[in-house]
Amino acid sequence: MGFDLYFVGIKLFDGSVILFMVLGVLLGIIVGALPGLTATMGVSILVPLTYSLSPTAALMMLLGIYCAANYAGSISATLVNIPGTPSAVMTTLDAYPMAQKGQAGRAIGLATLSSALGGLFSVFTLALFSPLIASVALKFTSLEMFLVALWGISIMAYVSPGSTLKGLVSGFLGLLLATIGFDPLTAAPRYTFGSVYLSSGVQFIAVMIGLFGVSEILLNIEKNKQGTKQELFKVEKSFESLKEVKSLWGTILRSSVVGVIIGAIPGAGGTIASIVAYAQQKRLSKHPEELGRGAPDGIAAAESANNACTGGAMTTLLSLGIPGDAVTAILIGAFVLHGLQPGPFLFEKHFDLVSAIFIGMALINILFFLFGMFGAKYFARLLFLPRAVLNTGILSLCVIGTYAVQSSIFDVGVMLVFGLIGYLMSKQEIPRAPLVLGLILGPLMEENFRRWIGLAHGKYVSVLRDTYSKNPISIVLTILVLLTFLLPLFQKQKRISEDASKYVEKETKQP
Amino acid sequence: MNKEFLNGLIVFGIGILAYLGSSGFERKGVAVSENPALYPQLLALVLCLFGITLVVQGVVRREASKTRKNDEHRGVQRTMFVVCSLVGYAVGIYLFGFILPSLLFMFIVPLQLGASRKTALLVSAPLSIALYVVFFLLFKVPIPHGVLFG
Repeated sequence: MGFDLYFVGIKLFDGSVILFMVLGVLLGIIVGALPGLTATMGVSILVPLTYSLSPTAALMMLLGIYCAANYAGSISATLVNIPGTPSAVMTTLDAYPMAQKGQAGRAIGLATLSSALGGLFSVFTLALFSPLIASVALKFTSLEMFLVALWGISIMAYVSPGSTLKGLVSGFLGLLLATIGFDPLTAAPRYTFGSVYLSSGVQFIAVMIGLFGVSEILLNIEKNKQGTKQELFKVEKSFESLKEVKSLWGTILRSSVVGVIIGAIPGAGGTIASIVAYAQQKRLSKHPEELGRGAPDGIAAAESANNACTGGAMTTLLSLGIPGDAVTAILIGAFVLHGLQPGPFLFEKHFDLVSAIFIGMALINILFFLFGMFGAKYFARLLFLPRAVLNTGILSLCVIGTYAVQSSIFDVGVMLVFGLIGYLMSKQEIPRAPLVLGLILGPLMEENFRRWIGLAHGKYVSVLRDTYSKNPISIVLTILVLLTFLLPLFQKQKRISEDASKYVEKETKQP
Repeated sequence: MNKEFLNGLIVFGIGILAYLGSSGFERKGVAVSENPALYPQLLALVLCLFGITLVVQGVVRREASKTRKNDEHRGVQRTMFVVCSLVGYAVGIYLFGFILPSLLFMFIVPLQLGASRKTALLVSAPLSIALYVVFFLLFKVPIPHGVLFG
């Protein structure tokens, strides 16, 4: 591959790709700036819109939404003390107090700069590590591929909010749903009940839009979340924050490393990354008492970490086909919609597209930096949008978007059913992301599992012994899977997410 | 009955149904890996196991289910109204195409969610047209024309 991997993708960038990338960034900022709308929801709803685009334009638009939404949560966090996306929760602790001191522009400037630098750092690590991981993954046997996928689901269940068991239930329900349709090996129909609509399986885009689009809006409607009525702070002099980069580079670099590592853990995501980075900053800061009272390093730590997650999550997606978070799980759907399968073979078959993703993600970070610096005060006005109208518009978008994928009203029905299921899952504190991951990784897991069973010819123990003695990767993967399944049994308090929410609670209670 | 117990029963039920349902496509006398029911049956058994564990957790914890407050009840009512409207909207666009049901949906639902009549009226038409333009004209994505209109 060599250095070509970092340049060859430039040839895929034509006018339309740039246009849709810019559109994606703008949509991402809008989605991120509005509390109640998340990057996951934005990407899932807009996947069908990319149906008629080239794979490069489609992926650039969706990556634009993903990265920009992660950043834009800081806008409402600064101006109205409500994180626009969950990953901006730690940003509120310092950005809002800074805005109260009349420095809203400085807070948004710092958040924009840190987000962009965190994002760019993560693109660098993505470009550096994903080809290496992919080259190792290319040598995986069917048992190892099965174990990687199983580990992805179990770790996502482990780090998702709620109990691990409920996360596993969600993941295995996804795996079961993935078996609907023709059997990939024998073409026997399974769970189709004679319906032609089910013979090709459950349309995963309909499921994703239902679970992350419709159900999220239903939850918003139930809570009656309205647009803000309060006065917004004036956003001025955001460029002055650029001078502070000299004193903050250590914080940004440290937090970006945290973000990349946490981003690469399936299911962990930006919220946990920003909390861990913030806690780390508080431990290392010379003036920890200032954090939570408008400290610039608090904003820098939280924002660089949550945006650095994007590159971490994309690393496992591109190299192993295992998404790092809910948004990248949905991105797999977008890849498949365009006839691509993320994973090690992507580097062999679509070398130029992988290169374009590296270049595109770097450009996206630069683009949202520019839009954020010049336009944050305009995006802030979105906070005045009447929420009733916005929610209705999004629901309409969900219906039309689902219909658009296959011109099928049956898919719309599937989307509505999963919207309701997602809503009920949230009420029962069952995480939704593992279900989507199970649905997406199901065929890969089944294929590799049955291939391994077939190759073993009934001598499972001797084949296992043989595999483990020849290949240490199998041993490592098996230990990882077992640890993720068994860890909750031996831990009084497993939950990264529970620890995280307790940390947020503690921090927000401080005077 | 607490959440865990109820969830456990549902998951166990899904597992049992999936296992029983797989007997319809089970192939006996072929190699294990060629049996299409093998993998779904394994998943069904794992789900049954998870279901039982949830039931046991529910029995051990014995947390009483919370009584619903008035505002929570209103929230659920609002949500159910929107769900019903969505079903009506989906049927509407199937029968009549995109424009007419969208105009109605985007007028009635915001009104029920607390928007003023003026806002709902002012927004429904531009929003419907904007979606039409974005999907159909800009992104060239098919939108429903309605079976009644061919």
